[in-house]
Amino acid sequence: MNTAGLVVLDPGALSLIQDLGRTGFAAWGVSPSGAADRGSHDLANRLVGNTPDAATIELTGIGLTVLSRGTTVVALTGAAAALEHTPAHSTPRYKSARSTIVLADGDRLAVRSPLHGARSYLALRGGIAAPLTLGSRSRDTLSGLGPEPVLAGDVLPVGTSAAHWPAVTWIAPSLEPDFPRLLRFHWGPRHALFEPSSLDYFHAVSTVWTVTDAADRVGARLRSPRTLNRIEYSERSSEGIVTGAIQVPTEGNPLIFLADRPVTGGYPVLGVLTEESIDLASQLRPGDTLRFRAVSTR
Amino acid sequence: MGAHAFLCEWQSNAEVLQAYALLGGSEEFAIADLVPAERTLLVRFDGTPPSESMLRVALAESAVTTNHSPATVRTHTLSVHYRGLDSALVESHTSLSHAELLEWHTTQDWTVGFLGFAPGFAYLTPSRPLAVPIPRLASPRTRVPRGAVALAGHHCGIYPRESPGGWHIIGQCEDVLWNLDWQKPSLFSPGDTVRFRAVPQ
Repeated sequence: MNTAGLVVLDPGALSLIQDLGRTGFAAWGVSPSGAADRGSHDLANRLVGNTPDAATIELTGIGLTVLSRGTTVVALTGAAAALEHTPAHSTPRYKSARSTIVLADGDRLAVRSPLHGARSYLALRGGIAAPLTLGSRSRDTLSGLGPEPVLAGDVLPVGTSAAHWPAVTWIAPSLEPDFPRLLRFHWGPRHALFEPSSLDYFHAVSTVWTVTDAADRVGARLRSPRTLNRIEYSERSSEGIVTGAIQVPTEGNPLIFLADRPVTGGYPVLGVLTEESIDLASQLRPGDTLRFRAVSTR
Repeated sequence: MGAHAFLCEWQSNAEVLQAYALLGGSEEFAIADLVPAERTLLVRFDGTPPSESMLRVALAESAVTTNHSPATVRTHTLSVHYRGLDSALVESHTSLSHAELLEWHTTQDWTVGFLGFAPGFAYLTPSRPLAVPIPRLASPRTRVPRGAVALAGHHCGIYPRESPGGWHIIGQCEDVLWNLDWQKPSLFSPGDTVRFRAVPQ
């Protein structure tokens, strides 16, 4: 039996176990959930040679500190967070994110606050072992399904998702993000319910949207100097939505739905982000700015 | 809707349920999730979706196949104590006596139109709707007990777990509606039939 794993000394602000989420239960009211930034989650798994279904830890805000029990192999991706590796009986050493790190028994690893970006992903070779709920190890913060948030004293055991040894063990960092961030989207299905001038304004090059404090795994509410107006405001029945849907409530400030979105929404959806832009949107913090660019005609 | 989903729309929930049943049993497409709602069905695909015309052809088959009733559709009879917090409010709003409301609720077939709001929360559609829709509470309750039977609009719903809620509560059901140990965690599926039976206090 493999008793190796990570002992959580400090869980940080919010540490959640996440994988690719739950598929096939939406008709019963269960959202997909899963890692908010799929690209970063996947990269972390690849840096430790895991199969794609392995669970990682999604860290939001101030990061966590873990102690290695046995030899473990880890990697951190996502938000630009610095790492501090303290070998047993030694002094702390800076380690680069986006690289494969081997921890000996008793080593400590601390994730510092990221300079920008909202979420980091800590992968453990073998994946994080946790019970499956409806086929997934993801914590859904809206419905409360999946493993409880990580607490100090928790032991995160190594799972059985180790595959081949990773082909690369270090990925060059991407350029510092430019703000306003550019998010790409497809129009529809309900853009025709809005005034054409509001649609023009929504994705104009000169329109800058700001992420409000209402930003979490469910979604990010935006504001700008103007609101978006509908042609008419008759009551609408709820309809199914997808992750990345841009919904506009009656007051006219759009909301981007992220991983823990509900299955249905009661307000019209003006457009849907591309998959890459969903990952970018998941890394936005309150106060960050963005613009929209359409990838389809309306 | 985005690069991986279609939102299909009909005039009635019955047509939505027919399409749901057809696509739910179809192996023609790699479907990740289906989300039926009042008038729409969201079809989300694994990877690249089929063309819109291919999906239209498949759904047109659903329209000609009348009485498409898959084997998975079931009938549930639930036992309810009719002593809800808002029974009196509903009775005055609808001008029905307690006995008349109970009679209306227990002597008809309800259809699971769709699920949403929370895992396992079913929107039940009456075969005999009330003349007037029931409004939502002006201020939602922060805590509605598991099993509360409630009305809003023309729908009836039963809270599968304790949660916040803004519907008018008319009774309490003891049946388990949601259990993660079941292969399918929800007692109800879209299209199922539900009947209510009054049990003495």
